[in-house]
Amino acid sequence: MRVLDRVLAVLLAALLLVAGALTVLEVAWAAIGKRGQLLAPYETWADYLRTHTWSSGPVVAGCVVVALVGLVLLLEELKPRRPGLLAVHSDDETLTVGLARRSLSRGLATAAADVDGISEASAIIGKRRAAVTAVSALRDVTGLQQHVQAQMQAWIDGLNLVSPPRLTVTVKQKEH
Amino acid sequence: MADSTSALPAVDRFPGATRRNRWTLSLLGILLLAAGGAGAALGLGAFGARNKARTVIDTSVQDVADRWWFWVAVAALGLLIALFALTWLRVQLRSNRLGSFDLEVDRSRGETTLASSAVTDAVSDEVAAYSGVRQATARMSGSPDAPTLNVTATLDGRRPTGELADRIVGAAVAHARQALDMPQLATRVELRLASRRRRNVR
Repeated sequence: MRVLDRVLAVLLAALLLVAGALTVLEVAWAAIGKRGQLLAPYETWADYLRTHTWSSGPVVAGCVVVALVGLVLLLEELKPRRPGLLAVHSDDETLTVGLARRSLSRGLATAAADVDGISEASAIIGKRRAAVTAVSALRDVTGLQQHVQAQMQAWIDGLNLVSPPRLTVTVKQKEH
Repeated sequence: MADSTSALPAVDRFPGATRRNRWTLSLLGILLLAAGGAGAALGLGAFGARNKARTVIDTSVQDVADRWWFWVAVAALGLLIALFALTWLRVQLRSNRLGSFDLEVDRSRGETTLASSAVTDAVSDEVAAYSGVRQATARMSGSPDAPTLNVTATLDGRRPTGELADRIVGAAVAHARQALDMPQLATRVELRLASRRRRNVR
């Protein structure tokens, strides 16, 4: 969201800068007695708005689109940002250690795929939960779920997180 | 510290821009919602059938537009918008990176500053050399009299994450604090796990 905000900010700021400067130039152009427009076809826009009522389809549709864009923008900005780091235990008050949440799912998947009997794995990190889905090529997967669960729990415990996510492991048998 | 909270915001190199973007885009959202909503309500007859049937630019609007001050106000508004946009763009370039910082806290004893790269290069080189670390970067942020050391390490999964966190804190960060004689230097360590495990060749 921060990156999206940044891209939007640069685009909108550039647009506003051009629009603001153009407005000043157009007014100055008219003020010195020049006829017609300099760059922006504002006379064409004004003519359109002089011939269309507030209830005409294009005007209502345009207003609805503007309102919807505003609503989406507002809701996105008001949405609480998910913290990017999971805190790691530290005894030092001047020290903050965090693990990137997004990379944790990659790390979990890689670690799960390394467990004996597992050929591939994926992981999803939620707010307080981590879900690992592991695929095994073994014909008999009896007890494998418990084994993977224990291995992954030990792996998560080794991260030393302040609030480790609650782990759920699902083992699926690869279709032969 | 970290024990009081289970989650932390990710390191932000442009905190000023992040704040400014958020409130400016929120404000813009409110303005668009209000303007678009009012226009749509007018068009749908919420303010009476007479208003609904008016053209968007009617004689009353044209009368105002014909006054001399109207275009002066429009130009002034355009100028304000352009200036606002210019400052908004400039904020995007302002990072919190610290080029140098004060080594001497007591100004009466003179002023000694140190280039941040002298510390950050040493820290990132040390951390990058650890087995299990694929890549490391370090930078100083904050103010010259209250700097913060930021270390980011990408781990390749060959070593336990907790062990590497302890090593970064206990060795690289401790060495930097010792070298600077700043045992209380605020430090932030961000660990990232690499997507693929690199084969152990070290």
